[in-house]
Amino acid sequence: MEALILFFYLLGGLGVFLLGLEIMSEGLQKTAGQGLRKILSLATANLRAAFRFSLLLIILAEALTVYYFGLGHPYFSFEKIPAFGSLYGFFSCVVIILASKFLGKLFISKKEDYYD
Amino acid sequence: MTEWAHPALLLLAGAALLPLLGGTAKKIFTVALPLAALALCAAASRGSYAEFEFLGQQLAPWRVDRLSTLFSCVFSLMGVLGAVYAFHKNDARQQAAGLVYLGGALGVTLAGDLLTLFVFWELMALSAAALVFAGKKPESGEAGLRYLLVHLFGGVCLLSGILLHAAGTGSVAFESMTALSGSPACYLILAGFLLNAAVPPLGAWLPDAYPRASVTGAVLLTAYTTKSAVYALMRGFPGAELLIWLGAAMAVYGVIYAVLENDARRLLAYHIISQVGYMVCGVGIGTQLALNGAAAHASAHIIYKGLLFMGAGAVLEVTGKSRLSELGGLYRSMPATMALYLVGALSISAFPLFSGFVSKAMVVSAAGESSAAVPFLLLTLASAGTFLHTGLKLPYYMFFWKDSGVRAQEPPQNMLAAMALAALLCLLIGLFPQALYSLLPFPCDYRPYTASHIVSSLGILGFTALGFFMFLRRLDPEPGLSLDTDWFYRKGAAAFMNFLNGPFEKFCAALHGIFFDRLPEKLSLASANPRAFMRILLLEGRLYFSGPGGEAVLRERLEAARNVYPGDPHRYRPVGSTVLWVITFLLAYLALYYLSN
Repeated sequence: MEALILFFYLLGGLGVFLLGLEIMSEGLQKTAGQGLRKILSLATANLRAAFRFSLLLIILAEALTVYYFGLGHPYFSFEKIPAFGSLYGFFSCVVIILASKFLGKLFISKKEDYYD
Repeated sequence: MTEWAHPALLLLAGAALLPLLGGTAKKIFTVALPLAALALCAAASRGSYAEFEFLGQQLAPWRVDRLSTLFSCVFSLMGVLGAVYAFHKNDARQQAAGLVYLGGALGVTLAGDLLTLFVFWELMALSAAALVFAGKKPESGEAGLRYLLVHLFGGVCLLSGILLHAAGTGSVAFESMTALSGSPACYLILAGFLLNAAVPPLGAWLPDAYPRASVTGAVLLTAYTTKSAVYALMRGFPGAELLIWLGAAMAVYGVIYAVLENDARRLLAYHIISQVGYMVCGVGIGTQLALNGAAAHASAHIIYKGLLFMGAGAVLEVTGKSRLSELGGLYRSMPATMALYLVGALSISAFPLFSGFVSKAMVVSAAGESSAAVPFLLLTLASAGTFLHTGLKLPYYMFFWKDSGVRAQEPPQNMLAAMALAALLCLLIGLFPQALYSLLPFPCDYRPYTASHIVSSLGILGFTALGFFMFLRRLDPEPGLSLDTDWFYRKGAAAFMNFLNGPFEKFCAALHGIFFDRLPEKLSLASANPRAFMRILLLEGRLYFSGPGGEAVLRERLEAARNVYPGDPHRYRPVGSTVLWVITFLLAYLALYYLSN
């Protein structure tokens, strides 16, 4: 019995979801129409543009989830910085590359026949 | 009711039988044995089997609980994948070494006492060295020998620790030793474990040996030595604070070194160190979530790291090249290899829906829950570095970049099949994490797929990619070599040999000259006529110290004494004087004897 009710809930939810999607796309087309279509096609014109566009989406999504869903695991205060993951990811990448290049120049990198 | 055959002994017996079989039967046997071991490990119910007494100690070679079952099953599973990957090769030595290696890993995992653990530990070192030797290049032989020496050193540390521990506590049972920390026994055992876990500064053997092992052997090597050490740390030292810092440091150390690396398999080897850092850190944190995370990450890591080494190995097998500076543009000729490699790369980078995402997050969350901010930040930084190298740099320079002119085709079917199986497992773990979580040692209600976790992971990965493309020019691979702590024993050994062959050899020759040539010569000369010899010595001394006045006279007398030497001593010496001398010496001896009492 419970499973049946759950199934109908699911069906109903799906219906509402599809209806909402339909209404939203109609509304979007009406309000934005050609403009949005142009932006989207520009944003995905080539790989580089698509990459930049998705980065923008990610950083926006990350900054916004905090407000809409709250922090899933708020362990530290620095995690409350908006889009902490994106910023820290970029910072990490730069730090790793620069630090290892610096250390490599300093003493780590040697010729391939160093030990021969 | 399957507790009649110890999985490790089964594999050892199988390896011994291997030479009796021919061609195809042998190949099927190498796949069937790990499968049988997997069935035995999975079916064994909790308890301790085949206990017996040896040298007054109670040995428990087959302890089955949730932790040992998880590790032994994953080890066996990887054995199956490795055997499928090596199916096209008919090399009895490698097949046997692989089976013994898996047997050793299972033996370590199932050992309930430290003596059994030590025996299988050494067995792993020997068989792993055989897999490095199987690289069949001059540098493989050298690296294999270094591998063996380093691991035998680690084994000696472990054994001395075990003996001290047994002498101190009277028991060799393998239980948590965190409470006993601070004793020399504990430090020695810990050093043995840390050496095998490749914790710097004891970890330089790993990037030294693994890239030089055979293509199929390296796939097995990535799985067992470091992860069995992680298992041993989980058993022996959960919650040891030192491990938090060592783990976080080694996670970053691995990614820093990977930037400078040109050889594909050595780059991946540094990432083993980095990934094992997460597990060591998890063991150090020691909460239930952290230990679960370490176990889950070890399981996921074994599969995806095997997959990555399979991909790099397939490229090496087909093209004969593993230096990134000599590769490029392979996406045209090896699309399937590239796609399967990328599944492994996304898994290790902790991309949502892939296995690393659901396991790595547990360790990082555990660091967060324990309010360890610095390890939390270091581990997150390392995960950006992981994506940077295995997810971006390696595939970019191996499969895309310039067309290197290397002609290639897809590797043999069985290699692709093994990679496909591993990739499927990575995806299954990523999609259905609860299946893995239900096998963990402690009850686990961790939920990896929360909105904030997904977007922050995507943020880290996406902006790492941004950094990669910004610095692309500076990351071009260059031929070269990176100094690691193996410098101390590689240069040290050379310096030691130079010392032995140079100064020490000269010193020995000088000693030899004094004691075997000149001194006996002088003595025999002196014994011909001691009195006259003493006189000559005396004259020489007086000549040395004399002023210019008496010099001529002394020189003449010396000349005369030398000319008649040794003369005819026997005729003029009465026997009585000899007896007198003997009595004098005896008296002196007597006096000395009484005085000394």
